[in-house]
Amino acid sequence: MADPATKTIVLDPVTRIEGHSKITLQLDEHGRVQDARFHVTQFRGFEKFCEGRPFYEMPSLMARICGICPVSHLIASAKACDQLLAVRIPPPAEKLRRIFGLAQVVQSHALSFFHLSSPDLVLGLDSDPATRNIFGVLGKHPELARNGIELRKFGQQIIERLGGKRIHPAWIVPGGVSEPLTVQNRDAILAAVPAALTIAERTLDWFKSIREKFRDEITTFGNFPSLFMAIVKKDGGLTFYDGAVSIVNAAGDRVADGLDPAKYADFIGEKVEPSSYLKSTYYKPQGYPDGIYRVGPLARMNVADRCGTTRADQELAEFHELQRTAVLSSFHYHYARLIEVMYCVERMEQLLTDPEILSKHVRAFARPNSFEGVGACEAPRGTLFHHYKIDEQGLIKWVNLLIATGHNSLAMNRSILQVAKHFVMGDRLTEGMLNRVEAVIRTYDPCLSCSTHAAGEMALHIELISADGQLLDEMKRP
Amino acid sequence: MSRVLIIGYGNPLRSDDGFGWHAAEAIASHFRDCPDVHVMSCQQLTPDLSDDLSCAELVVFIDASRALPPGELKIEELLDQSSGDAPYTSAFTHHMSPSGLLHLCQDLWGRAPRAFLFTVGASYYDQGEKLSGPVHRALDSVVSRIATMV
Repeated sequence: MADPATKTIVLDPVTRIEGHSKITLQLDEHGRVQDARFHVTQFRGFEKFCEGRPFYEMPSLMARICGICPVSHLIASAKACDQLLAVRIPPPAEKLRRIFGLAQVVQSHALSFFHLSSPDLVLGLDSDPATRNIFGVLGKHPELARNGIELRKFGQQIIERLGGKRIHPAWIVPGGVSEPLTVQNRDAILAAVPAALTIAERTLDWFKSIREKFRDEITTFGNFPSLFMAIVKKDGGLTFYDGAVSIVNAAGDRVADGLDPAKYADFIGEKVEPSSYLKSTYYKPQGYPDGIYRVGPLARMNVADRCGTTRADQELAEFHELQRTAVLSSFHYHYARLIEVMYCVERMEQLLTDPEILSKHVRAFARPNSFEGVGACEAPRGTLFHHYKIDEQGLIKWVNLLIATGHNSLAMNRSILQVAKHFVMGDRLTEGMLNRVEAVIRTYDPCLSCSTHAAGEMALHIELISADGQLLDEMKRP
Repeated sequence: MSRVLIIGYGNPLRSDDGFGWHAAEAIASHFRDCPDVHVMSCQQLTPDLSDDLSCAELVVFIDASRALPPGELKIEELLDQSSGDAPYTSAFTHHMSPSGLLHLCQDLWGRAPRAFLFTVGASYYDQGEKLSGPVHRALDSVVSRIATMV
């Protein structure tokens, strides 16, 4: 039961994120922020309505979870199905899947950084909300706006070349991929690499040049101790496709290493909160909610010892110099995201120049040979697990999905709380406060599995309600 | 990039709303041996397309509309993208109008192609991939008009 002395501020909806959500801020009797919650208000139900479907439909069905990161769901789903088939996919197919995934990271990160977050960075968090969008960026920094569009297009065109279409491609299948790469498509992608690298480099330089203007935000945007989790290679190298789960603490020390993703339930707990359709996960050995951890670009940069590509490794070394411990501020998700863009473009070039990449042997065929499969990969926003069980006929009996935004759920709550405590004064609602609460959420780039994206200000309705239900204050954006 | 760009858009899983996709398919078939014509389909017009527009001399958008009687075809030229306030201040990056996209193209890339919008009246928006009778019958007309224009 709510304390009658407390008040609640509600931000609904949160804008410029992938999906629909709202934020509530709980005030104490002195008007100080006591608690903060990020609520996902949309219900999807994929885990349930897939039951009874043939397992081989799963990659295509799972890709429909999201229009931004369908490729990650395709990859995790296909990997789970590979386990159901009990096959080892041909090495060229694995490399092609990797390229597909890297291309998606580029386009997704470009959307997050240039379209959704750059308005805050270019125009300032206190600028007019009516023009604080990608089109406002166009007016003030046209090159950055053009680069954002070009970089996103670079990623999307690779997906289109490989998968046949930009959104919901069905090229990745259980056992490999459906078609080999053509010489024409390989050469076309390689020809576009230098321009993409230039954009990545230029944007990194620009971001580092403006970063100090956001000293306040660096200090208050989710700057707290937590664990960081990512899948990395055996040697600690960055990967988006395959490896073992590794976890570092706030000091930067590895607390777990070499964890088998298929045994995720041994080390990850899932908690359902009544206020949200988003599951909150935690590191089991530390319990709930102490086992709070972060995933995604910031976590990957904290967990990985190296990227494995020249320029990205230079940037990673610079990133690690930000703090002697793990880099804690969620504001640095932006920086980490840009380093990953650099890595992805470089890594794609490496893979595309591998002679094996044009091999025609890209798919293994088999019947189901196992009743259970887990597929895991690093999606743009963090670690992704797909877990399926099938019956004798190959029909899905049970599905469990652990998605990046769920991993980050506890961290997002804590980040909002930190920002709100710093910027919310009493029961007064100000644009700057709202912008910062929203902006800290955007650093995580939460993907709420949607097809609606706001470039500027959607209708924003905030209510300040007393414990007895009385409306104390209200703020609306048209 | 091809001289002519044809973009059919809408939701192909919502019956008549997918008219742009059906039209794009028919047009692609008609122009299959013509490298000068590039045909694409998408669910919504996004800023990314501005780059494709900037490389074309002529762009044709094809959409469905509730505002017209089912099957009726309306053709309008989208004029003067270089003057006036940009009409793309919509909150949505994934729902731009053809005019907004042309303005963005002009502002971002310094040029915008000549452009036409083909709209066909639609009435049936339930789940499905087939067009209703009157809307389906408009396909031939759209293809022949575009063939003449190109």
